[in-house]
Amino acid sequence: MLTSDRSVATDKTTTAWFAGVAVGLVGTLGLALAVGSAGHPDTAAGIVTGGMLVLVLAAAARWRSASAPDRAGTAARIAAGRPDERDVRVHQATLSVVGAVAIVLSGLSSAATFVDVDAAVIVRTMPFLLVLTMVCAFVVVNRRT
Amino acid sequence: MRNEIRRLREMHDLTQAALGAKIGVSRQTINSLETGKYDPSLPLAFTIARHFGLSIEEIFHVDE
Repeated sequence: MLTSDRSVATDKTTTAWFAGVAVGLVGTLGLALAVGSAGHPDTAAGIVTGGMLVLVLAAAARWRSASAPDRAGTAARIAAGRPDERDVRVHQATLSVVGAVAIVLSGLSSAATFVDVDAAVIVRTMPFLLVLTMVCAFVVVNRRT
Repeated sequence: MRNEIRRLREMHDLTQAALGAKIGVSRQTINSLETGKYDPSLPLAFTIARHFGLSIEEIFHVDE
């Protein structure tokens, strides 16, 4: 890769990272506003807290990967939008596991509604299960790659 | 796939972080390459070979 190519690639990843943060910010506030105006202020507060926590962690990861690149881990580089090719492979493998688990969970959830499990409980539990899956898959893939 | 990266790095008196910085990858990636956990892309293999002034075949060996 030529130096000019690398700087263009860096510019693109920087733009993509800031775009991602902006979308996350607007999405979080928009969702919180919608949920809050529907009469669920506590849930809206939770959405804002969770969303802002993720954005702050992403900003901290970006700062860490810039100030101490030697000590930044795979997750920090991915969250910072500065992954190398191994980080990209770990990220893709992790998300492929999450995708496969999501298909299985959606099937099980569908079946669960037939045995009188509350659909709202299923829908609200699903994101937490997928995040848990992502964390576990990331740890395993990162250690093995 | 086996490789000679650790031997070459030590011969050039480089740390994993220093080699990673020179070829544009992280210290963890160098460590994973050296321990055989990760096989590099073709562009990265070329970059590593060019850095040490060798051919890809002299650095990377397919396990038979």
